This record gives sequence, C-alpha cells and structure tokens, in this order.
Amino acid sequence: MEPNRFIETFLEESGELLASIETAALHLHGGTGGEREAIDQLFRALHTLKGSGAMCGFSAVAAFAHEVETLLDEVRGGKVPVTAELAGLMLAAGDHIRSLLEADQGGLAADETVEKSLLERIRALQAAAPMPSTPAMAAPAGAAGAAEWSIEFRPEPSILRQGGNPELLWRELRELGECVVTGHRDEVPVLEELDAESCYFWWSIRLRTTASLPQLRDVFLFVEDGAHLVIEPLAPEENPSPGPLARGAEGGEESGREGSAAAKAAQDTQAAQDTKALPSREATVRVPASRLDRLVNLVGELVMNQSRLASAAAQFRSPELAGPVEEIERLVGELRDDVLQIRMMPIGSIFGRFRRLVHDLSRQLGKEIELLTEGEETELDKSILDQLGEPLVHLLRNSIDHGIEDAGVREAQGKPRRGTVRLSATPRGSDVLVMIEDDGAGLNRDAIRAKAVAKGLIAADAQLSDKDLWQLILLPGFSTAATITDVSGRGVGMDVVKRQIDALRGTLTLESERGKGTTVLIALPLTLAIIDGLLVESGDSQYIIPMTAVTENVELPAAERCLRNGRNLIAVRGELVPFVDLRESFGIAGEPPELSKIVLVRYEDQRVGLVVDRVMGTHQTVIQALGRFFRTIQVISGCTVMGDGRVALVLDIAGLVRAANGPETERRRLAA
Amino acid sequence: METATPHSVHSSHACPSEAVERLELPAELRIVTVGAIREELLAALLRAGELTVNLGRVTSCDTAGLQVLVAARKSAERMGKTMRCVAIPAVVSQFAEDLGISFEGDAHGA
Repeated sequence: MEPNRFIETFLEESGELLASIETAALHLHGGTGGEREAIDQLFRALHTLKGSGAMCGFSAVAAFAHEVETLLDEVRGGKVPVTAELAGLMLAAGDHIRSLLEADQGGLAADETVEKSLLERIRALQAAAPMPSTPAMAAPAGAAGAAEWSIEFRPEPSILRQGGNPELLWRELRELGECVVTGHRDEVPVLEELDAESCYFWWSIRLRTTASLPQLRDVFLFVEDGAHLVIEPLAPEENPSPGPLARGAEGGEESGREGSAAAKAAQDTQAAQDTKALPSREATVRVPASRLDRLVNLVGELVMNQSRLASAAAQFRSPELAGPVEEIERLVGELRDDVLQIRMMPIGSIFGRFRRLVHDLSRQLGKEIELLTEGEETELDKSILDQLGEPLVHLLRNSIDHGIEDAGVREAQGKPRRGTVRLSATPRGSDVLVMIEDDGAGLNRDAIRAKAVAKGLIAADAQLSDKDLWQLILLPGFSTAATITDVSGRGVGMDVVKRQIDALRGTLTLESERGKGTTVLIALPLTLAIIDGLLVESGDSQYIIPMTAVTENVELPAAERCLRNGRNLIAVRGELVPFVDLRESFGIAGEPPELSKIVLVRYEDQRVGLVVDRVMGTHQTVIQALGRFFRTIQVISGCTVMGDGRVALVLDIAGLVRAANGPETERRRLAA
Repeated sequence: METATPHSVHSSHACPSEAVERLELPAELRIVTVGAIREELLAALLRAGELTVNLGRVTSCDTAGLQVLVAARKSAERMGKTMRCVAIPAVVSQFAEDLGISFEGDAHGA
C-alpha cells in the first residue's frame, strides 16, 4: 500500500472512529445500561487511533489516544468507575483528537491548553481512590478464574512493511497473563527467495489470563486484516465461559481445525455471538465515496450508450444483433440497480451526530431533553444523506430552542420535566419519510398570523387552515422568535431548510398542536441518481420532467395563449393555471407549432403548466450533475444524454414553480 | 556515521569455495537495512565455504532483521556451507526471545 493511500484510509477510518467515540460517550452519559459495551467500544476506537495513528505518522494523535486508552483500560479493569465526568471527558477527548487530526492536515494548530487540561482530568480520574474491582466491569472470564488460551497468528505478509511490530503484540499479551510465545521459522525461505520486507514468521501462543475473548481479539485489532487468527480456549472443561472460536480474518483462510460435532456447534454459537458483538469486518470492504460516485457516473453513461446502441441496432433489424443488444440491456439494468444499491446507506449513520447536538444544546440552554431515534436502518442514497444533515440540524435546533419549554414551564403544564424530540425514518414506497417530532409548546397560531399580516403575506381577515398557516413559516425572512439566541433565529430561517429539501426533490410539511408539540414531515426520494421522467421537446431541445410531478397533459391552441396581469395563465377546466413556456425560458428561436402541449405539474398545492412543442413519452433517466458553472441555475436539476447523443435537461419543478410565481424579472434571472 | 551496508572482509584463501568469509553487520538490523544486508549475505555465502557473521556492532533489531538471518542460515544449509553468528549483542538475543524465535547463534565471541 502506498504511504499516502495508507494515510487516506486512516483519515477516513478516523472519522468513523471519532463518531463511534461520540456515540459510546453519549451512551455512557445516558446511563441507560450497556456500559461495558460502551467502554469496550471506546477502548477499541482509541486503540485503533493510537495504533494506526502512530503507523501513519500522526504521533500527537497516537500519544494522546494512548493516554485515554490507558484510562479506559483501568475502567475495564474496574479501577476507575464509570461516571458522568468520564463520559464528558470522552466527548472532549474525541473533540481534541479531531482538532489534532485537523492540525496535522494543515488546519489550525490544536490548543495545547486543551490537551493539558484533558490530561489533568485523566490523571484526576486515575488518582481518585481506586474502587474495588467490580465483577461487572472486570473481564467475564475473571469470575471463573484464569482460562488458558491457544492463539495462532499468521500475519498478513506486508505487516512489517506497513509498520507493524509483532513484538508489541506479544508484549501486550504478556501484560494480560502468563504467556508462552513460540515463533515459527518454517515458512521463512532461503535468502535467494526472500522478500526481506515481508513477514514469513508465524506464531503460536499459550496464554493463561482472566481476559475475555474480545479483550484478546483487541490485541490483534489493527493487524488482523488479511491475517489468519485463531483464538481458542485450551481446556474447555476448566473454562466454562467461551466456547472454542475460530476466526479467519478478512482475506484470510478459514480455520482448518477439525473438532467434534459438539465443539463445532459451540463454535458456531460463539461465532454468532461474536458477530453480534462486533460488526463483521470480513464482509466489508472500505471504498472511498468518490470512487462510488465515479462508478455511478460510469454506469449512467453505460445506460445512455446502451440505449443509443439499442436504437442503432433497431435500424438494422438484424436478429443476430438484436439478441445480444437485448441481453446487454438486461445486464446494464441489473448493473445500474446494483450500483445504486451500493450507494444506499442507513440514515442512522447521520443520526449519531444529532445525539451530540442535542446533548450540547440542552446543556447550553439549560433544558432537559431526550432524543429518541427510530428507523436508523432505513436506507437512502449517500448523496441525499450528505445533504440531509444540515437541514435536519436546523430543524432539531428549532425544536430544542423554540419547541421544548424550560423544565419549570413544562412541569407547570403537567408535562414531564424532560422534553422529548423524536427523530424517525420510515420507508414509504419509493420515498423515505423523515419525521422530527417534539412534545414542546407547538406553533403559535396567533403570532404567526399577526406576523404574516404585518408582512403583507395575507389579508387581516384571511381565513386560513392551520396547515396553510404553518406553510407560511417556510417563506423567506419569516421568523417569529421573540429573542435571537445562539442556537437558532439568526435570520437563517425555515425557508433555507425548505430550499435544501426541495433541492433533494423532497417535500416538507408541518403539523402542530398548541401545547402538544410540532412535527416536521420530510418525504425524500430513495435516490437522486435515477428518475422516471416525461420526455418533452421544444424546438430542437429535449427536456425531462420528473414523472412524480406530472398530473396531466393538455393542448394549448395558439389562440388560447393570453397574457393577464403580467403572467401567462391558462384556464384548465375553469381554473386559471400559470404556465411557463420553455421556448421563452430557454430562449429557443423559431416559431412555435400551431398546437403546443401543456404539461401540468403539481408542486405541493400549486399547479403550473409547462408549455412544450411535443410530448415524446416516458423515459427512465440517469441524472448527471451539471458542471459547477451551472449550479446556480435553479430551474434545472441535472442533465442526461439521450440515445441519439443529444443532451436533455432535467427540469427542477420547485425552481420552475418559484420562477413562475415570481415577478417577471426574477423568472428571467433564474432561467438565464 | 554508521553506514547501512555491511562490511565484508575477504580472506586470503586462493580457492573461493573454501574461503572463510567474515561479514560485519551494520548498527541497524532493521527493515530499512535488510534489503542491503540480504544482498551482502547472499554474495558472501556464494563466495565463501564458511561464513562468520559478526553482530558486534548491532544496536537495534526488528522482526525483518531477525528474519534475514534465519533465511541466511537456511541458504547456508541448502548450499552445504557453514554460517556462524558471533558477537551477538543482548539487544538481538533479547529480541529473539521476545519474538519466541529460537536464534541458534554461536554466541561466544568473534
């Protein structure tokens, strides 16, 4: 592995490790049980940061992680108790490691005083009167006394080249108990055949220890990739807890050891438990997101070229050609679906950071708030998840700052002191529904109404349903917050959130009941990479209209085009609908045909007509992103290459509706 | 400054296959130097009927370093030649012990 590639992998991995530190620390803070797992998770994360960090030259990270790891080891040994201070310290330690990493990558230098104070806090915890070893925290095998283990370790040959030091592993094992290490030289070739930087030695170890299997495994944590590692108890009759366990690590061979049927069954059970405790690494390959994006783009191009090939083949009317072309079509379709599936990620991967946010905000605001999450396993395309974090953070901040009342106020209203914010995700057909519910004060109908009247958005005597009233909050510059706080209410309002969700082709609606709470519902498509579209044509240009927005097509005779109040309007069954002429919007030269078509699209509760020359039919479209020079164009969300090689633009309905409703100048600007 | 390459000392014997070759290893018997050490050991073994490897100057040692000595011994055996390691410092013998590798050095002096 190239050194820089190694560092790249480490940096990627460190992001995940820091997230797992945060999750575990918050778990400890919650005090809801499962502390041992949380401590183990913290220990593993810091151990890896230390080991890989040192290997990749992040010495400051390695040194600091070592200090924290030492403390955690004492917690595992039952010498240091699990306290709120420990949980807080872990959060702060994670933050500090993050800033150390940033500093190493050319960011601002990490604050030395922070490290100093953290180290002081670590020392203080270590110095606190050692409490008697608690069985709960001590290694599980400890209760039954020491067990004897046999370990076989055949490292990945490149271990030495990658900076691994087997002798450090044995030092660590020796710290765990009585240990006999036997190195084997039989695999070492003669000098002529020796790759001097590869490792040919392998080891068998006998270890008598009170440590548990996960603790033993931890020793091999960052050298087990590609290695062959077997850890099994030597004398099962004296060792009631773990059964024999065989484990071939990633890319490694399976254990070839024979055993009795009973032993095998026990082995399977243990392996199953083991898998549950630690997500299987064997089945996972780490790939940079950029490579996946490239793969999706390539498959997109493949799909387009396949349809070009199909239309070319159709002209030849040759059965010899038609067969393979059809087969390619099927294969490309499967490939496209599988590749898109690879990019799907559980939404829970971004929920983690919200726990931290809620924790920090509730402290900052002096409120008691619990965050409940549901449906973490619900999957969404990675590109959507990447852009979903920001609007969700904003909505959560709103709920916590404006929604949830102070504990005293809540008690006076007969509510529990502790407010609840529930974040959930559920699949719903081709959409995913994300909900943020709080049990706070709810939206203030009168205040919103007064503000809307003051801003001239509605007439003083307008009759609006609650739903319509709530939607007003989503308009630009609408904020009813009585005080501007650090948390929210700095002018970046719900309109920004709304736009971000629109950009994801999602919808946002609000539900609220005074005194009971507010719910924000966000419906998002599963993927942005592919849509069912309606292919239309104006002049020589082709456009794709997302099928989900299309309601009907009607004809527009030239005579019926009329201009009223500076807007294009058409009567559809008695209702006046604004329309946008694509010829006008995109500056298409030439005369329109005698009979144009109007595609009616629905966006929320509004209908807008799109005037086109011809409607060509439905078309499944792989969307390609526009270059960065075109990012500011709001009426276009991407493009696709058609079978004949022409480029069709994918229309952004939200942007179009805004342009159609906005003043003439705005419309022109957006389309420009 | 210590050089990374081993110092070889040719004997004055006329017939190369019966020559006694002495090779002095550099201070670092580590992954960074094993490439050069491997070349020197191989060349010395091909030249000599008997090879004495002096480890007297070695001050640090790692797994790759130890491994190249094991490989050299295997080569010598295959070639039917004798290879002796002499002046083995504690840092090497201790390391071999830590690693659980039996290192059959002829530990007594040069």
